[in-house]
Amino acid sequence: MSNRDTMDFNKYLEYEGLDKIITSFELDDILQQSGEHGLCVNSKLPLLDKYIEGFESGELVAVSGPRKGGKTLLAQSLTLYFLEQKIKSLWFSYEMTPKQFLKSFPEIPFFLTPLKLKTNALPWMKERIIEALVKHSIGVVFIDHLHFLFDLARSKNTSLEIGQVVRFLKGIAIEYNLIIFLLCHMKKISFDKDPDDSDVRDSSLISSESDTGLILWRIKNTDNQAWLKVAYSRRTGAFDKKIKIAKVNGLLREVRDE
Amino acid sequence: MNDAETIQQADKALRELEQDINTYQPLAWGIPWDIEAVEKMERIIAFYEKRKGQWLRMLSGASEIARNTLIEFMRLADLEIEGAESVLFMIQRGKKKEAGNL
Repeated sequence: MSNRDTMDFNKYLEYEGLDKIITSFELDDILQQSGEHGLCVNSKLPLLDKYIEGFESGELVAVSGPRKGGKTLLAQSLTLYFLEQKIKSLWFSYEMTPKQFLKSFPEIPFFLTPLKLKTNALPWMKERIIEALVKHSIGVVFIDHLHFLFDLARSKNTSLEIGQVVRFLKGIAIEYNLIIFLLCHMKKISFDKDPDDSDVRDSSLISSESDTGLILWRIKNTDNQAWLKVAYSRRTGAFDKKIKIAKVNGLLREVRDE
Repeated sequence: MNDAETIQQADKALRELEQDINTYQPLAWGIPWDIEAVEKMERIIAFYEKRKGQWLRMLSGASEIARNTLIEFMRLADLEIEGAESVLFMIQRGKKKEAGNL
């Protein structure tokens, strides 16, 4: 062994940096001592809570579905249901004007939002998330929707770019103990089949990088009913579970068939 | 985590912080101008940066009382980091002076 090899050997043997290698038992001790238990909030939709056992901090939840299927309404309903559990949400609502967005709630609930929105600006989004965490201890972030987070016109490979965005958001969720809901459009699907996660527009990376996939679509010949499908939940293993929901007094609630 | 748990954890962290301050403070004021001192200061900075990261993560979903406590801790940690950084600056300045570059 050369002198240089010996030096490197000692360097690794004595390495005490913050990223040093530790055992699983040491990691368990550190996590218990740190007091970082993380959040767990319920959706207040009983079957959904049964299938996914609530939402936990560090998770990225992809919400998808055809146009006008109720994605934003589900997110708005969850905002209220989380608030009932004292969990505050931060909203990045790109699809509606601020006025339209506020009006779309049956009653304006407490939530946080940037005064001005920037598109295609992930570092800016991260800064605002930290600001909301420090100023208001948010637990949840809603992003409506994914395609505003990167420049479609300049994108050479949309699928890969979406993959990068989703990975960036998952990183934020883990780093700051947050639950992030990412709303995504779906490509056109035929009328005779139920949508699934392979129908999410532009990228299969969304389903592979997110922890939970929820899909919503309207039930034909009804005014206010929709299906909410748990396409996948990595934590609980739930897969392809359908729940009937309906818009009642401006919010989504579960429908129990008698 | 509920309020009581967050506050309890924050209190525990504060006690540890006070202990750390008691341990590190004399080092910061009476250190010799050598590499060991630099390492000590760097350790202090890394230690408080790590703590700040933990407290920031604990903010998620915290109550107003817990938030205020955690923010106060982060401010304290910043003061400690600032102190250690100024000691590091003095060490480097001392070295430069020794080398005749100042």
